[in-house]
Amino acid sequence: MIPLRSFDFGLSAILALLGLYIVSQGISFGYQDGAVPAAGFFPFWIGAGLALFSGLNLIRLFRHSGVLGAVDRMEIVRVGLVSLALCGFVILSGFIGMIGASVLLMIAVGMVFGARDRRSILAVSAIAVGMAGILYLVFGVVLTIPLL
Amino acid sequence: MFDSWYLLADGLVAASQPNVLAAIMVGAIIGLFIGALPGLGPTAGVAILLPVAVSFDGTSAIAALGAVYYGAQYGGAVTAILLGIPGDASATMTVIDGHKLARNGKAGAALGLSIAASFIGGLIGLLLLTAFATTIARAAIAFGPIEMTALMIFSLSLVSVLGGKDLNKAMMSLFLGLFIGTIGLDPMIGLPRFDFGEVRLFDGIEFSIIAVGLFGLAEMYATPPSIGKPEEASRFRFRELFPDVRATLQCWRELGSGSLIGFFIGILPGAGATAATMIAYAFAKRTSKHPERFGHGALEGVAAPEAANNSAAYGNMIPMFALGIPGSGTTAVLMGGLLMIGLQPGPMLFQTQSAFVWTIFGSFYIGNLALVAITIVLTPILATCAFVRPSFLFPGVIAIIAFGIFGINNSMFEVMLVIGFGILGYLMMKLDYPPVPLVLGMILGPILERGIRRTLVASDGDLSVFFKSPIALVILLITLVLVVSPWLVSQRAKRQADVANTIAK
Amino acid sequence: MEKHEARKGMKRRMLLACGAVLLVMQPMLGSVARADDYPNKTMNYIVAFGVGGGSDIIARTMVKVIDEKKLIPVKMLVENRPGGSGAIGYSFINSQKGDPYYLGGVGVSFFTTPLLGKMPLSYRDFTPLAAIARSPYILAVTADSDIKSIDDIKKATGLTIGTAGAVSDPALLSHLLNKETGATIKVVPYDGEGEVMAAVLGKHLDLLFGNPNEILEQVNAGAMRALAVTSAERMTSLPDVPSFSELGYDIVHTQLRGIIMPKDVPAEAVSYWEGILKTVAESPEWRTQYVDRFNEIPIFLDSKAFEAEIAATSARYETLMRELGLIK
Repeated sequence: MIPLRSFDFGLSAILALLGLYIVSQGISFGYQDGAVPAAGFFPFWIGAGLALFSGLNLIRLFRHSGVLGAVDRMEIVRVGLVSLALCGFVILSGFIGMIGASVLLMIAVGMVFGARDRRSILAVSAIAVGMAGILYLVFGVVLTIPLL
Repeated sequence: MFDSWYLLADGLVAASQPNVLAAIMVGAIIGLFIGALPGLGPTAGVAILLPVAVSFDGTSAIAALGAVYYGAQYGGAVTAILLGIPGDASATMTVIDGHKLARNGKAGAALGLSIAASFIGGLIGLLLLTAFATTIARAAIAFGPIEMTALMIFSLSLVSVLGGKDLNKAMMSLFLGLFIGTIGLDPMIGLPRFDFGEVRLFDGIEFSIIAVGLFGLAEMYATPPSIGKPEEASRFRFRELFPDVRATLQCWRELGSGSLIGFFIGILPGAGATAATMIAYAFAKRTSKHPERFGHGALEGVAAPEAANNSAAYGNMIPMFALGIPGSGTTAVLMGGLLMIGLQPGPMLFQTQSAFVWTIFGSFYIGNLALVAITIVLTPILATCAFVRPSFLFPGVIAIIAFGIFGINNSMFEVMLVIGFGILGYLMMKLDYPPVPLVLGMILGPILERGIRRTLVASDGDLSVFFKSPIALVILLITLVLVVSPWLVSQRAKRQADVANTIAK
Repeated sequence: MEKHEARKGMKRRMLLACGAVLLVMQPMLGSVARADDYPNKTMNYIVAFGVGGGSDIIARTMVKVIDEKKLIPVKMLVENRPGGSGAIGYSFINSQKGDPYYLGGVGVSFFTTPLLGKMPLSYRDFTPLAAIARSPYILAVTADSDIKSIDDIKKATGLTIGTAGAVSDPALLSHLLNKETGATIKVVPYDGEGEVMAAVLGKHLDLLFGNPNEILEQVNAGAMRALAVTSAERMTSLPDVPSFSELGYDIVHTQLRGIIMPKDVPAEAVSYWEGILKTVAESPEWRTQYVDRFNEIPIFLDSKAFEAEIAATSARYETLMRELGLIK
């Protein structure tokens, strides 16, 4: 189990920094043009707001602890694996085409979500191949999207 | 005004010809499926069918394209409810309660309600379109940048209703959304903002990417894997696959208010159906006797946004048909279709092409009836989806997401973005950051920025113009009441509690 | 009436005959130009914007006319590659260097996106083929406005003008109008022509530069009044409306409907397409389905003339964008 508090720390810190970055960019876009707000006017205030509220959240996190509970380590692993599988799909599509890559993607996702024994993997593979055919028909043929 | 109904009767007869009927059915079914596919919404649907449709005769072409538009509004709710993935942008609010209902085994009731809401919203929108198209169009253009700014300030204040219990996190989410809304070319001078050297960010980030990542992928990430738990499905009764008429009738108030809100927001050029669903949802929650049920599977939370987005579709068409002004991306493509078949949408259309316009309106009525029939038959079949094991369901769903998102711009860049937003959405869900304010900020922020900057460029920075428009003043007053009243109520409750305490002592 | 119809029929027949002659000549021209007969596979017309927009309608209508007249022996497909304000589509065409099977149309962002320095390309990285129509802009006000002429604009204060897009033809023209007349009209950018029209009709703006198509519709409906046109001469569909140049202002700017190819395509392909596009531009089909329907001006510019206009337009945009502070 991983305590969620550390994640909230991380996210709030990143968002606070992002807020400051937005403010600095906003200033470089130009805050005002005469009496009229320029391109940086909104980013300036949006960044300031994001930094402010993220900062408040950080302070709150320092003061209180244990409000958020924890998360199963396996769940985090799953998020990582599915994201990786999707990235793999993006990269592989360039080489073996989207249809082929989607079959591998689907089998990988099926395994992440519990298809571990031989029968389930076979079932998922069958679904994946069938689904790839449907995807080809729907997106490639009917919707005429130029698939890779 | 009574003329309208005679003309409509003629239109209905003309729209019942076999070739037009066929076109309606083709359009409705394509719309339904494209609406259900995550990433692709009505705009993409109309755009995909357009090159084919213009080879039909003029009436059939526009009847088919119109059917794609409202068909997609029906379809968007299906994936939203069953999988928690907004099938199109305007179905985002439907996810919140609709998917909770499906997870509680009420998929059939939720789907049935969404169909009823779509139909009622569509019907109210259509009746208003039929009766007042030209009159309303004139009123709609009274909404300029000043009024739009006021409306957006009002809509953003809804974060107090939609934000959930942790206001600080709601604000973080809102500002993150506002930031995402600024990505792309600056609307006033064309300067690239936050493009990180990537031309593909010039037009900003497509909303459906964020909706699919934040809601769809995040939801799947948080679902525990199913290692041999097939008996779970049998817990749900067969009857629950079917629509529930009583539950639908109970939501009559939300259906009505959602339809009206959807229609009037839909008319305004540039406001859009998604904004309409958020306002309708917030209104339903604010006026409900049980606002605490919203977000945990309230039927009203499905009824209001679904009625609103369907009704908005017709409101949206009013400026296009009556003035030649496309109010949204979808109507812009639809207007391209009108131009391609040789018609000029605009103030003359009702006079010079009266028979055509009324046949199209007639086809909308028929198409809506057809969609109800199709979707009711499909509901039990689709609802079983909710009982498929994740290991069998998710592979296909994730593949559909990847293909659907790829289809937005035919590029993998968007797929990479959706992966990122999936992770962000998962973190937000785990850490109790409400995602709705982010959506609110991203959709409304750009409209607000345009409104304010356009107003101030025209007035040379003079802020007093905001208080010279009666419409804007009324909206700003309502906003004030909306923000201040909960605080006043809580103060009064506190005082009463104090009084009660002193008496007790 | 009947006579008129008959004459129209005859005219069409004659034009068809001309078309047929050209049709017979085409393969000959091709074979003269090249040993292997170009084109011998599917042509791709890349639209850098979405379906249903202006660029898309031109592309599809042109392809339809080419199809109907059977001008080329191969199929021609229209493919939309939207995104990045046109950058995606234009980069794609450019990446097909030397391949004479890709075509594209010229839009505003063809000039502006490279000038922003965000696309490592410019108009010089494409081969201009020909231009087949020209669309002027019309300066208009609502019918009940006090502004009745350009002189009224000079006298009035606090006027506003709406433009579709921050850097666009209407924006360019609005800044020119200020410069030429000495007026101080405030330029308010909107996201599209429709939004500008709505704002003008709703009296949130005073003026706009619009396409003939949308302005004529409003003028005919009695909702708007046209003040001047940006073409060198008056438009036939608006004979009472003066051009800016005859009023003595140096404002001549029209949108060219032109076709380009990737860089370094064989000279034979260029002359082949010049021929095809000339036939298209002069065909009655193109006239009725595009030029007349959208109230544009029929023209034909060959590769050289088109190239010169592209360079001039790009220079005009560069000046505007410098003035707006977008290029340093």
